[in-house]
Amino acid sequence: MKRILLMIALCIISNVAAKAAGDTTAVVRHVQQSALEISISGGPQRTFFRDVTTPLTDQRQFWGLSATGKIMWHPDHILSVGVLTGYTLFSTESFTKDDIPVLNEPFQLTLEAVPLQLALSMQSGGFEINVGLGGYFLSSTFTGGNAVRQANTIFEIGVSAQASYMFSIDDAFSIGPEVNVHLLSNRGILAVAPCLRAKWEFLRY
Amino acid sequence: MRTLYKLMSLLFCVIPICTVAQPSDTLNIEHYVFTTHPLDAGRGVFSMGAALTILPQPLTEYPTPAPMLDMRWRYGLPLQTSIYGRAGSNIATTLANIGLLWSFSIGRGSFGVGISEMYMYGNITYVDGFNTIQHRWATYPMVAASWSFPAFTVSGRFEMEYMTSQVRTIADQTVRTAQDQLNGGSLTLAIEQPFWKNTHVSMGVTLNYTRNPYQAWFLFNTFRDKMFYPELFVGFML
Amino acid sequence: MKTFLFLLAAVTLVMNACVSELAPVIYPTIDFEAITSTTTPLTIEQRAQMNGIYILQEGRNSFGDTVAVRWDGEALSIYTVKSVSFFYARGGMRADSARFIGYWRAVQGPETGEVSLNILASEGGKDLAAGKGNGVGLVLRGEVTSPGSQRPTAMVLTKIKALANRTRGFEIIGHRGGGRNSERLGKSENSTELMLFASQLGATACEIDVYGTSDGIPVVFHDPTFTPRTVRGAYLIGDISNYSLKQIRGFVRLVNGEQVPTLEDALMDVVDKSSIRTVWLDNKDPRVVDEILAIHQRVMDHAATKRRSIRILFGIPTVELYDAYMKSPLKGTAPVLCELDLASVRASNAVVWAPRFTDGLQSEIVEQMHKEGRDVYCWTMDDPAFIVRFLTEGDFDGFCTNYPTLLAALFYTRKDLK
Repeated sequence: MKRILLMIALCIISNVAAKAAGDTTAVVRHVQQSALEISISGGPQRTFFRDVTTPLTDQRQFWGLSATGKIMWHPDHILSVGVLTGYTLFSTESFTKDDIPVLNEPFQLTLEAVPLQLALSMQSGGFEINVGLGGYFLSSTFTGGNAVRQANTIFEIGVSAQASYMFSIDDAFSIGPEVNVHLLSNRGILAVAPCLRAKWEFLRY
Repeated sequence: MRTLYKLMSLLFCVIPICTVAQPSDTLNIEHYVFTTHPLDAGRGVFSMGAALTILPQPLTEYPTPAPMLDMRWRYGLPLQTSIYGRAGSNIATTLANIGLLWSFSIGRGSFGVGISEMYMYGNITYVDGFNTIQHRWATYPMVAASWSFPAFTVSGRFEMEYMTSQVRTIADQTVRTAQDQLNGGSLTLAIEQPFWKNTHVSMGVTLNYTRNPYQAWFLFNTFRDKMFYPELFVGFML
Repeated sequence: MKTFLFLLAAVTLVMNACVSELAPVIYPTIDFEAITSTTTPLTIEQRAQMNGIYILQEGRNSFGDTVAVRWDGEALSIYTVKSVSFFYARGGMRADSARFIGYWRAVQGPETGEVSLNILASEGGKDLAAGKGNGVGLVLRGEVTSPGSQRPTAMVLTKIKALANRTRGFEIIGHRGGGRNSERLGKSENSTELMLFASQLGATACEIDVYGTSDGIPVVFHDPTFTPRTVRGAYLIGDISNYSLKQIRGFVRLVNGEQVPTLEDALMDVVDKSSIRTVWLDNKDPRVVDEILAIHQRVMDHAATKRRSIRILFGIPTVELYDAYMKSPLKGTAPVLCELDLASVRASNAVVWAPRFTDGLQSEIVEQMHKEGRDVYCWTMDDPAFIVRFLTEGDFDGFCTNYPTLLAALFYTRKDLK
C-alpha cells in the first residue's frame, strides 16, 4: 500500500513539475523599470514561547500586535533588497502582590521588540515573499505597583518572513493581505501576525 | 513484484519530465555556480560574496555569527563533468575545497553526483588565550539537483561530511584526533537569478547537521551529538 | 503561483533550521530506597577496599578496558574513559555478598541506562564482609541497560590495583559546579544541586562563577546577562547587575528549575552537605569583592565549627578584579587563586596560579611556582588527548574540566604520574 501511495505521489509531483516546466517558454521575465518602494503593514499577533515566561504561570501564548515597514529597491528583475523595521509587542502580563510574595508588590511585565533587518524579496505575479535577516532590539519593561519602571534592551539575532498578495489600486499603489512571522530562535519566540499591507512605488526609473 | 513497482515508479517520474525538454541556452544557467546543468567544456563561472554561519548555542553558548569571505566556482569539462569548488577565509579560518561533478539535464531539471575534498587551516594564535592551530581534511560526497524556473534557478545539494584528519596544536603540544569520522551532513538550497541589469546573484542557505563544525574549530568541541546550524551565503557572479 | 509556493516552502525550511538544541536526556528512575532499606551500608574501611582500578571482562564495547571505581559518601561511582561515562549506584552488604543499583550516563552524548551490580561471596564478598584484604581480585558482576537495546548487557569488572595517586595531591575541579548546561546532567550549571552532586561525577573540587546583583548581593552565575541558555524566564534580559535578588528570585529559574543561588547559601551547603575539599570562586564583578571576602570569612567560621576541612579560593581572573582586590580592606583574609601574570600572582600573594591550558605545559614556570609554595591549576581541559598529555608530561596540581568523570578516569587509572 505504501509503495502504491509513493508511486501516486511521485506521479503527481512529476506531472506538476512537467506542467510548470511547460508553463512558459520565456527566458527571463524582465521588469522594464527599476523602482523604489515603501510598504507598511500591521495587524494582531499571536506569540508562542518555547518555555514559560515566568515561574509563576504555565502560560506560553499571548496576543500582541505587529507593525512592519520596508523600504525596498526593486531593480529590473524579480529580486528586491531593502531594509525592514517596525514594532512588535510579544507579551504583556500582570501580577498581583499575592502572586509574587518575594517582591510584595504588583507588577506588570512587557516584552516588545523593534526589528532591524536586511530585507530580501521576490515577487511572482501578485504574490510576494520577503525574508528579513538581522535582529531585534528586544526590550522588557517592569512596571511596579509604585509606578517604578525598569526597562532593559538588548539586541538579539532573529529572522522574519512575510508572504503577501497585492491587489493593484493604481500604477503605484497596491494593497493586500500579508502573513508576518518573527522568529527569535535563541529566545524561543515565534510570532505570527495576519496583517494588512499597503505598498507604494514612489520612484521609477 | 518489487521490481515492477520500481520500474513503474521510474516511468511515471521520468516520462512526463522528458516530454518538455528545453534547450539549455534559454535557461540562463551559464551564469550560475550552484546549478547542476552541465556546463560547456572550457567554460567557467565564478562568484564572490560572503557566508555567515550562525554557530549553535550548545557549542558557543550564544548563537554566534561567524562571517567569512566566500568564493565559489565551476569549470566545465567534457563528458558532462565539471570541476567545482569553494574557497573562503575570515583570517582565523581558511578553507579550500575542490571536487568533480558529473551531471545530466532533462528539460528544465538537472541532476548530478560529485565528490570534493576540503582542506581547512585554522590559526588563532594572535588572540589572547587561544594559542591554537588546526589542520583539517574532509571529504564530501554529494548528490545535487537543479530546476530552472523562468525567472530564477533553484538548486539543492545534499552532502555528507567525512573527516579524514584533524591535527590540533596548542603551544608546544600537537595531537592528532578524530581520524576517519563521519561528522554529519548538510543540505544546501541556492537560488540564482539576475539582479540588476546583467548582474547575477546567488543566495541561499546551507543547513548543516554535524558534530564538529569547521567554523568553530578552536572551541575544542567534545559533544558527540550532531547540531543543527545554518550557513547563509550570497555571491555575485563575476 | 508555483514559484510562490516553492519560495514559501524554502523559507519555512530555513526558519525551522534556526533552532538548534541538544537532545534531552531522560534519566531512568531508580528506587534507591528499595535497595538501601534491604542492605547494610558499607563501612569506611569496606569502601576503601572497593576503591580501585578495575578491568572489564564484559562490557568493554561500551565502557572500555579499564575503569576507576570510587566511593563518595554513600554513593558508589565508576568512571570510564571510553564513552566518558559515570555510574551512580547505591547499595550495600547482604551477609557475605553485596548489591548495588543505579544508573549510568555517557556525558558527551545523550545515552543513559540502568545498572545493577553484585559482589558474590565467592568473588570477594566474604573478604569484604570480614574487612580482610585490600580488595584486589574482587569482582563486580551485573548488567547494564542501553538505549535502543531491549535486553540488558552483561558487565563484569575485577579490581586489579589501588587508585593512582600523586605525591603532591591532585584536584579534579568541576567547571561551573560540575559541568555546563550542555552536559545535560539534570542539574543546572552553577546550581547548589550540581555542586552537591559534583563529587559523584568524580570531582574533588568545583569552580563556580560569581556576579553581583543590582543590590550588591553576590550570586552564583556564569554569564553577564540572562539568556535562555541559563535561565527560564522571558522578561529578565540584559545584564544580571540590572536586577535585584528579589526580581531574580521572582521571575527566573535556572534551566532545570532551581533558584539562582546566593554565594553564601551555596557555600554553606557545600560545607554542610558535600565532600568537596576546594572551591574556586571565579569572581566576575569587581563591585562585590568586599562582600565576597566577608562571605568567605563567615563560611570558613561555619566550617570550623563543624570541623570541616575545606579551602575556598578567591579567584582573580581579570585585571579589574585584581585592582579591586588589592584596594579591598579585606585583602589577605582569603587564599587567592590568580590567573594573571606571575608578577600579579606574587603581588596578590596567591596560593594558586591558574594558567590556560592553551599556554602549554610551561614546565619551568610550574616548577618555579612549586618552589615558591604555590599550586598550579590548569583550565579548562576537556579533550582526552590533551588531558593525557598534560597528566603525563606536566606537573600540574589540578585541572578544571567540564568532564570531571573523564579526568577522574584518566587520573585514577594512569600508571605514570609523578
